[in-house]
Amino acid sequence: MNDKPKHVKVYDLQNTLIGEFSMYKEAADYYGVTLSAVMNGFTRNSCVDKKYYIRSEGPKFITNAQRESLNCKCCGIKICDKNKYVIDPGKGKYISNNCRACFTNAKFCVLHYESKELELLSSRMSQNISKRMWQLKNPKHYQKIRAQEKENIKKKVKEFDERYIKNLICRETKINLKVDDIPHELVELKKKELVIKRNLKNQGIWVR
Amino acid sequence: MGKVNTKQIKDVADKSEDIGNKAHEQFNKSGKMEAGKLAISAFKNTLYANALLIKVEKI
Repeated sequence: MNDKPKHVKVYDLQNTLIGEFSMYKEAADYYGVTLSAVMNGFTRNSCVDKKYYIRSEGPKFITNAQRESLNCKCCGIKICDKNKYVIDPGKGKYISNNCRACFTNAKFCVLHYESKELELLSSRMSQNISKRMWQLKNPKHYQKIRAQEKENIKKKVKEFDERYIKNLICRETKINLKVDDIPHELVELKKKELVIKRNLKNQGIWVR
Repeated sequence: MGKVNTKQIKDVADKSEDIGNKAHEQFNKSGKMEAGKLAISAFKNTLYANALLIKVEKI
């Protein structure tokens, strides 16, 4: 017998109770959708091809910065009263660095989820979805940034940037050297090698 | 790592650098492909030997 209290209740569009579960995960597994879908509501195709919107009610976890962002879970710092944060793409999890309203920094406080599943979901979301969402929301800005990055890389390669060459040496030697350990003489040596390679390439000879 | 023969590695690095420099000069003068390839491989060896030396020193 299952003694767990069933907090999570799932309703359809007509507000009729469809199911009761003890966990969001259970509901997600039952309906074959993701955890976030259950928490935020989801549409589902029925056997007669009608779409139903299902919403769920249950105890809220201590979740992300946007929902309950008064205090950081790590250090307890009060981040912002206005509760508006920009999700920073590519940083992992919901790290809210800048508040949209007051433009203050949150000093890189990472807000963690309590449940392991949500922790996993959040990291995946932040790595993939939030980044993609940001790209979709700001296509022109994103294109501009990408173009600028590409130009910078081209410039570095063309002008034999010292940092770029040091990184190249680290990658090629494959013995876990740090960039700062490489002296300038080695960089000069690598430059010579690259110049010869470029000359040969211009002649139509590809050398590895 | 105490048994690493650093002297031998230094020799390799110095000799290959000499070879590389000579080949590089030759390549600049004649523009021959063989000289260029030799210089590249010699410089690669030098780089690798020097990188190993740095690693050994750190350890």
